[in-house]
Amino acid sequence: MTFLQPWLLLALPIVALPVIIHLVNQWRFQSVEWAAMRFLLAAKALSRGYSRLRQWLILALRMLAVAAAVFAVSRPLSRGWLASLGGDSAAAIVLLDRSPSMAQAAVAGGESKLATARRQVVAALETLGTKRVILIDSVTGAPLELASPRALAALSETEPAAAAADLPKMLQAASAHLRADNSAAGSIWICSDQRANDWKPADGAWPAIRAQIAALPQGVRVNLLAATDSGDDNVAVRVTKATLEPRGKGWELLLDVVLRRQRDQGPVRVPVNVELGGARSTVEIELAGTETVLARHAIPVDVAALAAGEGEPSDLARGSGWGRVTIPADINPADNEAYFTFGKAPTRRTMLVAEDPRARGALELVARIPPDKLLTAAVDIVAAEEAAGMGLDEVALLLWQAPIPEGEIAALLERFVDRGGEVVFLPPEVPTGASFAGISWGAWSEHSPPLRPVSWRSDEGWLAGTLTGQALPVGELEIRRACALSGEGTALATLLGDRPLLVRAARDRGAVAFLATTPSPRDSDLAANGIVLYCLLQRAIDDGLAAVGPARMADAGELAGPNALAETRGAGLAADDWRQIAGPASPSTESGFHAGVLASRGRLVALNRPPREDVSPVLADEQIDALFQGLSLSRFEQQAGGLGNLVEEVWRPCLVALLLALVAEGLLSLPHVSPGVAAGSAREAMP
Amino acid sequence: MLHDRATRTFLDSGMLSRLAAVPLLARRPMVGGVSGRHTSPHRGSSVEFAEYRKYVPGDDLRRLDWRVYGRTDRNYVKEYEADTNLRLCLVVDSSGSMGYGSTGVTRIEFARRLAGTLAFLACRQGDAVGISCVAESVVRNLPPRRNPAHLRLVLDALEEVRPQGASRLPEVLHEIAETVRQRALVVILSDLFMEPEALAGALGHLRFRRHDVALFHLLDPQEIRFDFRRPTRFLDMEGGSPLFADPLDIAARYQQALSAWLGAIRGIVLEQGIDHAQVSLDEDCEKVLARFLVGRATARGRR
Repeated sequence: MTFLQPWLLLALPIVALPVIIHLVNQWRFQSVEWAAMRFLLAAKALSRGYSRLRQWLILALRMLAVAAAVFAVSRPLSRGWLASLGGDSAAAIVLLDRSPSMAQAAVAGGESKLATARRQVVAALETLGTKRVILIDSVTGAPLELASPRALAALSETEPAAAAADLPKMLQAASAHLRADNSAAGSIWICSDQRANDWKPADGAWPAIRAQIAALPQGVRVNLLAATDSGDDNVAVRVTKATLEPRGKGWELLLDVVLRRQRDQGPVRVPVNVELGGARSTVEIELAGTETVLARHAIPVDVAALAAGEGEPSDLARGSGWGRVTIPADINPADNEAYFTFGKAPTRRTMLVAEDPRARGALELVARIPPDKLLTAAVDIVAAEEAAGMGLDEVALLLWQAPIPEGEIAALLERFVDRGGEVVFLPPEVPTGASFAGISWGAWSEHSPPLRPVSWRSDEGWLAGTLTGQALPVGELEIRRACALSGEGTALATLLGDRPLLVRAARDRGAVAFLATTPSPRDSDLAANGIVLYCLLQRAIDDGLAAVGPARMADAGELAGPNALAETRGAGLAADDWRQIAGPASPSTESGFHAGVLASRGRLVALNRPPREDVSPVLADEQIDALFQGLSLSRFEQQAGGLGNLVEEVWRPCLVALLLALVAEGLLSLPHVSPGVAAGSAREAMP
Repeated sequence: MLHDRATRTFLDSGMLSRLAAVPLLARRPMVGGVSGRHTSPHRGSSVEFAEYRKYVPGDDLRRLDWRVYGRTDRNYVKEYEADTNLRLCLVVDSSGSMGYGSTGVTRIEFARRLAGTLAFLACRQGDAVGISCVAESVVRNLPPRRNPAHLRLVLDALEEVRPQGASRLPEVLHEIAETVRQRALVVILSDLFMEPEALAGALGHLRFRRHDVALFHLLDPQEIRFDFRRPTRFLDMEGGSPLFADPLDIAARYQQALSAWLGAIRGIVLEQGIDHAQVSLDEDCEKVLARFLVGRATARGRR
């Protein structure tokens, strides 16, 4: 047990006071001459065991009472070992998970997990007397020293955001701060709901984090305030796609609205409000199971009216706009609304780098023909050696049929992919050992008779079937020459003998794909059997356009994270150029982390919480233990709105113990039979 | 009769004169040498008719009831009760425990008052008075005699007796039962701090010898209340080892033991038909004696 005023424990020796008083009392006895010794002897013999026990009990209770009084004034703490984290010179680092799931409350309108955790941490740190508090929140990720624990409750940096948290990075920042500042005490308080997408248990950084924290000289303790209630009643709404399509003489907005919940609790009808340009409409969606998609919900749009509404005239002249969908309030207000942007389709621009003229011709033809007559397409052809100067700002797809680039060009391609661009590599005539995204070309092999694809992903991706359900004729392709691939990737199509035909490398954003042959008639009949190649490339362009169009939807945090540079550079904008035109008010420094709509120079970006925030599983305690293996971890389960505190002074129980001890002592000190009554009974015995 | 009355601090002349109105009577027939106020087991010449008896040769013809002879033609002799004097044997416990007294009066002092007054009253009505002061043995023994000079010796013995030593009252009572040959009124003044079984045997012996036994059971109020507060070292007045105790701890058990003992004593006296007076030392001696004498006077009659 630990005490806020431990020096008062020096008074503990007075616990012996009752014994001393007892001994003194025994010492100052009186002597009397007594005749009726026989009754004394009988009484002594009768009450020897009980009397001694009672005497000891009374003494013990008196000592207990004194000890309880001393403890009470010494202000003991519950979970007192926590106090060793605190102290006058000690500081604590607080890692605050501000992800949307932390906005969940126990009941609708109640206190959120984040607010509860914040309040409890403030109370605990104040109780412990911690003066230095360093805040690392999931949005900024940078250490911020606070004047006092109470400041934690008032800062805007502790309000919920729409961006997911990255616990490994926050912990790295904490350990770096502790390493740099040796005077800081080693206590880390993590306030989180243990969502897998925030904690990233598969992240390779965890072993390094463990090692860094274990190597700190302070001896770090980690306290986890876990609010693991998954909120099964919660329903989340999201718009996955918003496209503007011509319908008759006007335009029509087609929305894909998704409702999600953690657990199937029977069908329920959810009214979804759609706000668009000041107009509001409601559609009821029956949520069955854990997820229901309302696909292509059509809303007529008057583009001219939109242009007269909010936004920059230059943007709206391009036919872009934004809107919002909401559902009734439930236990998590953060996922009850979603913003979307839409716009007329931009030019489907493809950058083509091809050393083989025959392949180049086929690729250019395929890329130049848009899938709809309303759309426009453009192809820019660049020689490989001039690629360093190519502008990729408006490009949706880059086709690279040349040796895999290295150096500056490779970095340019990396940035292109990071901002959401799509790259398809085709094998050069002379493969080199260079690699991109971990994949490199091997040697060519000729096949006669030609090989045919034996398996491919027909359910999703670039080779999926058409909307009518018909499969692409991938199996009819004839591959005469194929280039081997080495490296890790996902095979979307394979040839006989498990040779990869189309491989996609794993990336967070954008896509990097490798096609093991070219459309050159010498290599395959991709050009002759043009359907497969056309679908593949047009779908790749579709994906790449999402990052290029005047209106795009992104996850909160993307514009301000490591990808922000690519994003803003790609658009030719500085981060400060973005202006929030919709969504809850938030500090300008955090505009990229909150839900809403940002606008800048003809571009609209709708920011929403990442999709995985909606239904992310909660990490089990064992998994958390495994992540902190070898470290001192204490977990405090808390509930949103819970009134309890982590560290409490427990002088009240001490006082209760004092009172109980005194009452028990009083009861034991009472004569077993009142002398008056006994004397009465003795007198009654007289004749 | 009592020349140095002023020196007898345990005698109160006022009390003696007031109590003189009530006779000291035996509850049982006494066998005395002279005529007195007490019933005798023998027929005698008092005025109180007893019974008719058939004449046998040798009977005094003066006692023949001529009227009965005239009516029935049979010879009957008319008999009357005989009154005699009694022997009062005072047995005073003089063990160390008799020296206790918390009210300013020790037990032996109270016993002196009782015994002295009874001796005086008995002597005044012509009864013989003797005394036995007993502790571990008979400390002083004066057999009953009728003359007033003997009363002085008895009072001297009372005055001189000092509480000392252990008590062996039962054994001494056995001895008295055997040595007092004729029926006597044996008055015992003691605290009776002894085994009730031993006391029962001794009293039974006295009753077997047809003695009329009266018992003054002298107890101090403090012995009954036992209201000590501080830890106390109790020194045995009869020479036993001292005992250290916290009275608050043992008070309840003390009261239990006291009640049990008093109950046993009461059972014994009821069983033996003994005149028992439980006396608290804070009571008025005169009231105690008055109650005793009146109680005996009203219970008289058995022969």
